Amino acid sequence: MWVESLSWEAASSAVQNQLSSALSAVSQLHRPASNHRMALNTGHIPTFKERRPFHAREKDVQEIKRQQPNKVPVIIERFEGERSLPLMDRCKFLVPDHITVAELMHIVRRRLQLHPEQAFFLLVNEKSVVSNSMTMSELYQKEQDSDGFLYVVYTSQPAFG
Amino acid sequence: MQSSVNGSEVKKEQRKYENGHSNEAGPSHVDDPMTWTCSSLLDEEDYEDANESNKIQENPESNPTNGDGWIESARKAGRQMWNKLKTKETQVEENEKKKETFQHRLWTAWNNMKYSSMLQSDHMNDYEAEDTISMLGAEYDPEKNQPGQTFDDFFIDYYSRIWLTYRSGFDEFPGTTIRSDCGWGCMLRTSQMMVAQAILVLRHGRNWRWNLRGMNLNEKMPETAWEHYEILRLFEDKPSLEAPLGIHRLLELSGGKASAERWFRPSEALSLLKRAIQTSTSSLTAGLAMVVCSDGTLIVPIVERETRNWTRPLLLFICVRLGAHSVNKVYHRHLQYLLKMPNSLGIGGGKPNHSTYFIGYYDQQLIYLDPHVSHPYIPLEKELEKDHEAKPKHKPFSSFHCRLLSKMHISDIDPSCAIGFLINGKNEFEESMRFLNLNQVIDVELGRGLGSKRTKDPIFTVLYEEPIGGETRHISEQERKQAEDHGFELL
Repeated sequence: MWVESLSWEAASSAVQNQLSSALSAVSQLHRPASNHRMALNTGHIPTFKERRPFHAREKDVQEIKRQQPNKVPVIIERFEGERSLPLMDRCKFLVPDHITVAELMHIVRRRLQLHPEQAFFLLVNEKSVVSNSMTMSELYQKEQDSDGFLYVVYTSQPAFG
Repeated sequence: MQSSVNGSEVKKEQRKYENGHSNEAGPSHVDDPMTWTCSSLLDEEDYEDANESNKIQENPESNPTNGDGWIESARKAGRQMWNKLKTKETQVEENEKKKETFQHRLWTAWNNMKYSSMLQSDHMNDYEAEDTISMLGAEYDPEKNQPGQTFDDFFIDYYSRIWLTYRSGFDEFPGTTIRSDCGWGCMLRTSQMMVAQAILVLRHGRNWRWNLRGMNLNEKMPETAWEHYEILRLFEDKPSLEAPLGIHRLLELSGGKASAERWFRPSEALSLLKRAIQTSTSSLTAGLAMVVCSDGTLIVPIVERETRNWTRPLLLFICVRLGAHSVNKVYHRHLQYLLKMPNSLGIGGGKPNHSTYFIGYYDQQLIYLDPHVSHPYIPLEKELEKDHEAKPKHKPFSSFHCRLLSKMHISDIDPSCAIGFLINGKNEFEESMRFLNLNQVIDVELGRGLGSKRTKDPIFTVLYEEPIGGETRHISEQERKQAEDHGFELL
């Protein structure tokens, strides 16, 4: 008797699953898919460069540099393949040029509220930033982008199985 | 088509194993994978019934003898009645449990096939390289054919490294039905291999070789086998204090059953081993210091604290990230330098999702030990017992040494890795770091006012002074407003 009830339950849940997936497919068909929504669905978050055209970015840098010449414009984003670290609420930062890379790392770590043992790396142009006492202005001279921003991505280490 | 061929190979091997060890009661948890896959074709209900009837027949008490036949049949009927009367809930629970074990066994069987050592490819013939081979500080030059540097010497050195792989059929992790680490434990195995290499070098030196050719296997077990056994026992897969660095202990430290079947990051796995070493009571791990740096900076005052001012041997692991998607070309040369260091413990890394243990290189190829091969668990004591009639060619600990050479192109490796060193004393440390700094591999920062020795693309940084937290800076309202107007946040 109980076997029958089990199989009935299984069958009914399978039907429910099918129904719900069919329903969601239908609702997706009818939903006006905005760009942003699509991005969320596929798991890809457009980067700052993708969101803002080159001339606008160039203008951003020129204007802020005129007003505050001793600061470095930095874009800090999460690496697209990163899954374990949280996202930051914004990505456009202005950093005093005399602070060191270590300090920047400390600031980002604190902002993401990471455990001290959590692996954490800043990458610039596909290279790890590990020179602690290097100042932001030195790093900026070496690695700035053609639009005038310094692009930094943060990431941890992936897990292996 | 191919999979069926593989299956039969596995079956063959499994049989071989069963024949070879048929006298062992303990380890034969490994089920024939083919039986399991076949039984999946049966209706589960039928299958259980069949099992039940088997049990009854096997039971010697239940063999009906002349006069007592009716008692037995009555008993049987009573048992069946009782089974029917059992409450629904317990039966549902039992059923769930059975299903779980069943699924798990299927999974293990699948992994046994997938990671069978029969399927591992041998790259021995590809090693006709003219270049020198470097492995954990030793160099071999097969071209020159000088004694001690031939390809055979390299191979024996490679074979002597402790190889820890997926295993199945060990005692289940407490609170679970999981009896294998196939498909998830490779990072733990790689980290274990790095620590095993350190303990091996500390105990027997870098020139110790596990050379079975010179051993007369018909004589009594050679002395080196006993020494070897002592080290391997630390990493045995059993929930016991005798295996303080085994996988059961590591999972216990990482939070028990919730961690089983989870994938680990290099920094996590190494931190677990560090805690395992700290809590171990074995004489082999006593007085070892282990430091794991999780963000590419090595802080010397921390090392001094951990080694009690350099009075203890140091197992040093530095986790690095050598690029976002793949390893940046600028680091290729660095990795080769690191593997050339005489005090290197190799590099724990891998290709994406697959952790492997890199121990050497030639040209642009990295030589590695791969944990993605499944071996059945056999208690280590059994390996020491000699039973030449049943297994005349049995070589002890053969599943702990790899005879198949594996290599990977340096550009295929995952950018996340952990670099290992075994360092004895302050002088050795400073010399090694100076050497790496002079060869443009790492940065060294001597502290405030003492300057730093920077290189172009350092792989990690050595800090001789503990960094102090960021100072508070005064930010004027006007500056903040200007930044906000342009969409910036002022740090």
